[in-house]
Order: sequence, then C-alpha cells, then structure tokens
Amino acid sequence: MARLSLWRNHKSKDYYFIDSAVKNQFEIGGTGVYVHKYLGPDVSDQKIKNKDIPEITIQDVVFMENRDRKYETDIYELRGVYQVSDADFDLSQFGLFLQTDTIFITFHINDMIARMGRKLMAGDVLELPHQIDDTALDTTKAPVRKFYVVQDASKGQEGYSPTWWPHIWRVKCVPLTDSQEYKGILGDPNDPNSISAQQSTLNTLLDITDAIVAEAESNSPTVTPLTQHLVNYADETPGWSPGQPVPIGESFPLEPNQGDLYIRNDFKPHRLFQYRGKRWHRMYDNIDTSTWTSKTINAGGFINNENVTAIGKREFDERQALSKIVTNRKPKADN
Amino acid sequence: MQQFFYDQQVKRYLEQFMRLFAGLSVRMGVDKDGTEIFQRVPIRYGDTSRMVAHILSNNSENALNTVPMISVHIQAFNMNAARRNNPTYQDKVQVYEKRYNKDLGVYESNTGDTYTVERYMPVPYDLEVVCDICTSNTDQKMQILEQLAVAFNPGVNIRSSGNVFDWSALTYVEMTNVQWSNRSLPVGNDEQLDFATVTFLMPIWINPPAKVKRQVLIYNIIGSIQTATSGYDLDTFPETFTTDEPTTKSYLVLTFENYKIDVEGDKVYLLDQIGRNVGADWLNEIKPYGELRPGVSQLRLRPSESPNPGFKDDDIIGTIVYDEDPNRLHFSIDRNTLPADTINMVNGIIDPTKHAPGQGSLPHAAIGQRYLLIAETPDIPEWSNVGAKANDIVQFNGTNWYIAFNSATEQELNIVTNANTMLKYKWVDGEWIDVYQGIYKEGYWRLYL
Repeated sequence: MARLSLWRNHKSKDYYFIDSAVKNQFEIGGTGVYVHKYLGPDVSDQKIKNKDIPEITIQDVVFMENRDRKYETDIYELRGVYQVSDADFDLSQFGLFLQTDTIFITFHINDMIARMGRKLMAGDVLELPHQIDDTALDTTKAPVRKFYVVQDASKGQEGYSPTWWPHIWRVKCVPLTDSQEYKGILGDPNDPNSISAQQSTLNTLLDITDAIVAEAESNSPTVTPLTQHLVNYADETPGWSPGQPVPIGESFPLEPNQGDLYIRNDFKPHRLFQYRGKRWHRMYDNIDTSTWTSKTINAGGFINNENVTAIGKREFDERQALSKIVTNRKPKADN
Repeated sequence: MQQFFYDQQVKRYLEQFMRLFAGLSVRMGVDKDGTEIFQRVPIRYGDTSRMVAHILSNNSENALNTVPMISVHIQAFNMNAARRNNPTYQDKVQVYEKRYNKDLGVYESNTGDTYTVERYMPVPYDLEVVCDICTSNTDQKMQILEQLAVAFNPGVNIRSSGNVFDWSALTYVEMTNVQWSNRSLPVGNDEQLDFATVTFLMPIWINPPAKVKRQVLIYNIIGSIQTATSGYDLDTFPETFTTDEPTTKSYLVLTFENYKIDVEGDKVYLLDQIGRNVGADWLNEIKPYGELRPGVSQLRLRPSESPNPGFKDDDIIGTIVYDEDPNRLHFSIDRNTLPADTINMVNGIIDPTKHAPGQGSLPHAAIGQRYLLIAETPDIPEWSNVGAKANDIVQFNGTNWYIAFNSATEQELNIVTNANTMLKYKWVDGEWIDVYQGIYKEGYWRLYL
C-alpha cells in the first residue's frame, strides 16, 4: 500500500483543487482593491532616459532609495481581504495621522499574478474603493479616495494548505502621503483636477504659508525701520540692548563677562559679538543693503541669483555649485 | 488692577521666524519633457488645535498629508537675567511726522504732527524654537538641510516690527542644534516618516506699552497777524487764515533776535541785525531754544518773492550740523525742495565777448545749445549777429543763434538750471540770482531743531 501523504515536491492536483477553492473564497467574500502597479524608477532626466526601467532597478545606490517612481496608468482590480479597525487620530506637528491605520490585506497569489503579471511588492499603491468618502466637509471637491502603499509583502500563514504549498499573499499597507514618490499617481498639485489638488493638504498649507509671510511682511517689510513718513529721522542704533548701548570699539574688552555683547567697528560692516565660554562669538553683521533676503539670509546675494553670464560663446547661470565651477569640459567616456 | 494690553510680541517673532523658511523648495524629479519640477515646502505652526487639523484634512481620514513639510513650535521661553538692564529705565524720543495730505493720501515734505514717545525698559527672554522637517526620502532631506545649513552662520537677524521706535524689534536667530533624524538604525518593522529637528535660539525682549504724547517742546513760533476789515473776514479767518482784503494785510513776524543769515553754497553764516558778520556763535545762540541734532534739525529758507512771510509752500529745506567755524553751519540741501525749472536748462553761463562757439573753451555750435549771457553778444558771425543782451538766453537752431529768453521783455519769475554746475537761478526783478544762495533777512529763514 502506498504511503498516504498530501505532500508532493511539485504542485499537484490537490494543490490546484485547494487553490481553486481559495480563489473562490476571495472572489465571493473579498473586497475590490485597485492596484497602481509600480513599474520602476522614473529617471527620465538621467542617463537611462527613455528606457523602460524594470522594478528591480535601484534609482539611488548611495541613499538606497527609489524616490521618483513610475506607475502603470492602467489600474488592476484584485480581490483582497482585511480586518477593518477603528481609526484613532494622532495629532502631530505635521497634521492628523491615523495611529492604527496599518492594515494587512491578503490576496490570492495565482489570481494576482494572472491579473497583474507579478505579486504585489513594496511601493505598489492600493486603492480601496469601498473606503471612498463621499461625505467629506468640502463638497466642492471630489469624493476622497482611500490610498495605501504596500510597505512589506510576504506569504500569509493562513494561506498554507494541507499540501504545504502557499495560496495567499499578505501585504502590509500604510496610508499614502502626498509625496514625491507618488506624483505619478497623484498628479500635479497645480492641476485642479488632480488627486493631489483634490485630496492633499499641500495647497491649503501653501496658502497658510503665504498668509504667514504676508502678515510677517506687513509687520516688517524690509528688516529696516520704516521712516518714510517721518521728517529726517535718523535710524537708531540697532536695539540689541534697549536703553543701554552696546559698547563699540576696535578691540575686545580684556575681562569680559559671560554674555557680554560687543560691536567691532573695525569690521566692515560692523559686527556684533557675544562672549560665551572663552570665546567671542560672531552674532550679526550690520549689513545695510536693499532687500529683505539679502539682509536676512546669509549669502542671500549668492543664493538668490538669476543673473546670466556670457563668457566666450557660452552663456550660463552665474549661480553655480562650487563643486561644478569651471569643470573639465572634455567629454567623458560612457563607461 | 492691571489693565489689559497685548501686542502679539511673541507671535510677531514667530512669524518672522517662519518667514525665514517659507521660500524653501525641493526638486521633485522631472516632468515628461525633462523639465525639473520644484515644489515649495509649506511651513506652519506645529501646535495646532485638533479642530483645525480636522478641517485641514477635510474631515476625512482619507486625506493625504503632504510631505515634505516644515513645522515650527516653541520649545522654551526663559527669562534671561544676564541680559537684564536697569528695569525701571525710561527713554524719550521726539518724533516729527511729515504732514499728511488726507485728500491725496500722501505725505508731504514739510513737518506735520510732532510727538513725544516714552518707552519703558523691556524684559529679556530667550525664545527656543524648534523646527521639524518632515521628508519622505533622504535626498529630499539633504536638499532642505543644505539650503538651511548655509542660511545660518551661525545666525541671521530679523525684525519683529518695521516700526522705527520699537527699540527691541531687532533680534537674531541662531541655529544651536541639529538632530539628524527621529529614526534609529536598525529601522525595525515599522517605517516612519523621517523628521529632522533643528533648534534655534532667539533672544527677545517683551515690552510694556509705550506712551505717545503730544510734543511739548516748542521749536518754531510763527506769529501771523492780519487785519480784517469786515465781520465776514473775522468769521472765516479761523478756517482759512486769510482775509479777502490783501491790501490791508500786515504781518508781524517773531524772529530769532532779528538775525540775518548768509547762505553760501553749503555754508550758513549768522549775521547780526544789520547784516554784518560779527562772528556770532551758532551754538550759543541756539542753546536757549534746544539742541541742534545732526542730520535731523532743519534750516528752511523762504524765498524773498514769497507772497508773504507766512507762505511756506516754496520753502527750501535742508539739514544742518555745526561746522568747525562756530559762526558757520554746514547745510545739506534737499534738492527736491528747490523750485522746478520753468525754462529749459542752459549749457552754461558765458561771457560772449570772450568766448564764441568753436573758439576758446566753447564747443562748435550744435542744435539745441543754449547759453545764458552775462554780456552783450558782439556782432560776429559766430554769434549770428544775434544782438543779444546781458541776461538773455540764446539758442542755436542749426543755422543761427536766436534769443530764446529776452530779458528786456520778460517780467515773470523764471527758474533755469545751469547744466554745467547744476546750480539753479531765478529771474527776479530784472536779474538772474541763485535760487537759494544769498542773504536772508529776519522772517525768511527758520530753524526746526
């Protein structure tokens, strides 16, 4: 009598019988899941321009990350099963994040491969159509769709049949953010019909940023005292220490106290120092130039520079990274 | 009980602080045409209310939180005893506002309201502000931090207010600490968004309210007595300061010891009552009236052709400082207050008997050349036998010289600029005189200390 055993070192008819039953279970009881399939890094500005990049390519081998991602424009529909849980909001300095919104969805492996050509992998974006929110606060916007991104994927323990062959793929998903990685799905925030414009907090936060800047500008437009409405008003000495002027001179006091301020007038422009520990620390240069940025931001004239220089027959931006100035122009070998 | 006051002082410092980061962008790959995409990084105050957070997320857990993003919050607010000055110190500033023209909505050049501002010693605090930078990948983080890293070396200065009298508006923001990441290695089984935390120190001052009072110092008295010949004149005078009877007006001008002054270029000499320079000392003479403030105190010259000594619209104004010579003030004229030209500039003032076009120092005649003459032109072809007299202005039309300004017939006040020296001259009583140099009698000059 042959030994009774369900184990085979190949996928037997038992396996396919069970696999069919598992697939039916997903078909009948699973929820629809839309898959935005990750295709590979979108590095069309780099050397591999206009080539199809397979999913196995690593975009940045230094930081080991794929930040510019290309997604299939066609959407695949799978059936998945997951446990719905209550959402608790975690109010952070960056907004509301769902504390318990990491979900684990299971899919039928063979059905998944048959439909989309491969198993789900980290970086694939899932959309749960049954979670769409068509009763959000802003009724002028489209219903808010629910996106997750796959973070990890592996075979689920519940998917092993008595044949010891797996049938289920389990993916760990976290809510999507409107970030660089998913621009291919979310679209241009400047396009009012894009998902980013409709669902992301970006445009609202940029409006808030602009409002903060506008209020700050109204309070202090130029970082200089406003005296246009006064008669020959001479600017006051900078008020580092109201009521008691900061000592000024060409050399530091010999026996300073901790925290003492001192202005060196042999520096052009005059420079404020503070005594801390055993050193005089440079604090501020009394720069009197024209714009808020050049007064405020260190090296503002170098950073905010759109001048174009023409040298020889070449025209190029005046602002250049130090590491790229007057580099060897000879062509380099491709490999 | 203490009365309420609130000037949003910490809020204003925070706004300026956030302004520092509001212009940051990150590169987000390229579009399908190969053009680089840049996205601004939003910044906001981190300690938001739950309600606002839900409004921002559209009251839906499906909302997409944007990344990258910068969030700012106050970590500490400590009194700094080391920076404390005399706690009861009070300071006074005299303020001269320009006259505001309500109808036109503009400030005019002459003095309007004057104020005394009293300020009380503010209290020193150190504000420690934390800036959290949320990024979705390392390259993005590097982009933001590299931009920040050069902006602070170690600090930048900000003003919480543009008000010139806010003596504590200026402060600096110093980067004191950078925590590279909130994540640790190994990452483990949960991947979180990456936060870099940068800490900044802002030494600030919190001020009590100031006192703004009507200025009690008297710098200028103008007495204007007019004679009214009817009851109507008396009724309208308080509003108009004029009467309908110009012929019956008389003026009583209260002057500075009836002194005269002599203005020569940028020098002002003090003369006695009969116009002699006896070496009078400006410092001694001004002392009873107040202090001359360099760059602020003004000398106002009233042209002699003004309709009356009370008419100040034509005042020529400049600032004054003491000179090495006690009898002399240095006068920095505000050229905007000089009268506007009524006739076109002349190329120079010349003696036509000594110079002719193309001879001596004069260039060859060219269309549009104009000269003001100090003598009659000789009958020579170089001057086209124009027959111009002294004080005439002649102009070349391409063929001949002709008289553009006939001093014999011109009666009106005219102003012209000598393009050679940029000095202005006026045509008054049959002669050209400098528009402001000369001797000013009592009532026609004023000091605003």
